[in-house]
Amino acid sequence: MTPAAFDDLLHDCLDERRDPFADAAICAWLDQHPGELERVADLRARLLLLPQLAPQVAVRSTRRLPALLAAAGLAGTAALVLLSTQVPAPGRVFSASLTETPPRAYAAVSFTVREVLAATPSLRLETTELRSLRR
Amino acid sequence: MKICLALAVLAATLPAQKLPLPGDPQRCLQLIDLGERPEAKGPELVLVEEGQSKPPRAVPAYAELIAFVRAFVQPPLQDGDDVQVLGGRWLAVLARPEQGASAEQLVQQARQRRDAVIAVDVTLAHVDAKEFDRLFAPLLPAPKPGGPHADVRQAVLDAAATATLSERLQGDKVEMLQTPTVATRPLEPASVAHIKNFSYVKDFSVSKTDGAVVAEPVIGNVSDGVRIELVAAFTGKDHIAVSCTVTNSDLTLPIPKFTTTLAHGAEPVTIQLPEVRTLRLQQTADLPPGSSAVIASPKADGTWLLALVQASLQKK
Repeated sequence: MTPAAFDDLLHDCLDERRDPFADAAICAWLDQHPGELERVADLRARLLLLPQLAPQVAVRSTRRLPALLAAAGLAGTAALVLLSTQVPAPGRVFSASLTETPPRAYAAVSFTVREVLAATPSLRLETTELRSLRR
Repeated sequence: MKICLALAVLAATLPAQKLPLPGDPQRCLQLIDLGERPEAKGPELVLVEEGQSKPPRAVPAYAELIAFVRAFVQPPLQDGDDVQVLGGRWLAVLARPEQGASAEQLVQQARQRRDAVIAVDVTLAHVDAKEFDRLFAPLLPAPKPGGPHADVRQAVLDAAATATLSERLQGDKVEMLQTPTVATRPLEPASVAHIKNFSYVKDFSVSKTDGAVVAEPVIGNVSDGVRIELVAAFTGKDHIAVSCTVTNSDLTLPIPKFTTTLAHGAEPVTIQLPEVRTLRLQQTADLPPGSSAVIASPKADGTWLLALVQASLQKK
């Protein structure tokens, strides 16, 4: 295809409000002539302002989005795997409880009196007395 | 715990019974086979503690066995030495070789007479000072001056003196507690408990909800009864060695109570005030046939507390 034929094809595409990057012949020619890519992109960007073309391009972008997201996810996972040996693992909570102890009335108190009567390595004799008193 | 785990790991890798310790040429780790342990008795043979729906689990009291071995190993164990029971069957002794040999001899004697039955009786008594001076002081040695418990009198009484003391304990002015007789085989930990558990309202927690005072009871638990844990074995031809712990709790019944109000306008509540006297004896003794170990100690209220431990061979 000559440059003139390419221009005719490109402008036909633009006149039909089609996305030039969706045309296989245009893309093949651009692949062989990457210097023309900037000019085509500029013309395409101007046509995006027209309401008839914008939805088509938006749809195409949406179709590409899952693939882009998948690629980004894979790249992120790979990065995490590579970094996991260097980044310290976050802490974990194995069990927890939070309770509020209601205030005691302390209407009564109890205490223990211990009396050690004998304490040797072979013997221990002791008494304890639990006492409870009203306050 | 760390020592126990270390001993367990070492025991798992032991090709023989003795293992030298790296960096400590004086001591070694020795494993001694205690032999097949008897199966736990069925529920019908276990004393059920009153107030409990199920019989208590029969858990061997290895702490008492360890205390027993520690007491009778010769030469006496020092700091850094250790005794543990591994897997319910192996006695691990971390000590000098001669101490390990002493522990092994103790176990061997017990295993050779494993069918023998040793019965242990423990008697606890409260005696007022006058009765003690009249009836019991003459049977006991004079107190040794000096030390933190200089008034304590303890001795191993021969068969005749034991019989006399037991007879005098039957007097009217002696408040005596005869614990159940516990029979066990050599080096087999035994325990008996006859306990009533009581729950009581010890206090209230108070909170205000929508302007109203809400009082929730705080529940406490006290026990009344006796628990005995012991290990006995033979030392020498006829001597019986006993290591026992006796705990006796005496709850005053009925539990005193009073009624009070916790806040203005609130409903009155009843709070209980229990009083429990507990006596705990831990003793390790080596007793010739027919003899007993006795200890008497004055209490702060002027009365004397007397404990008598007797061991006898029931079946050779």
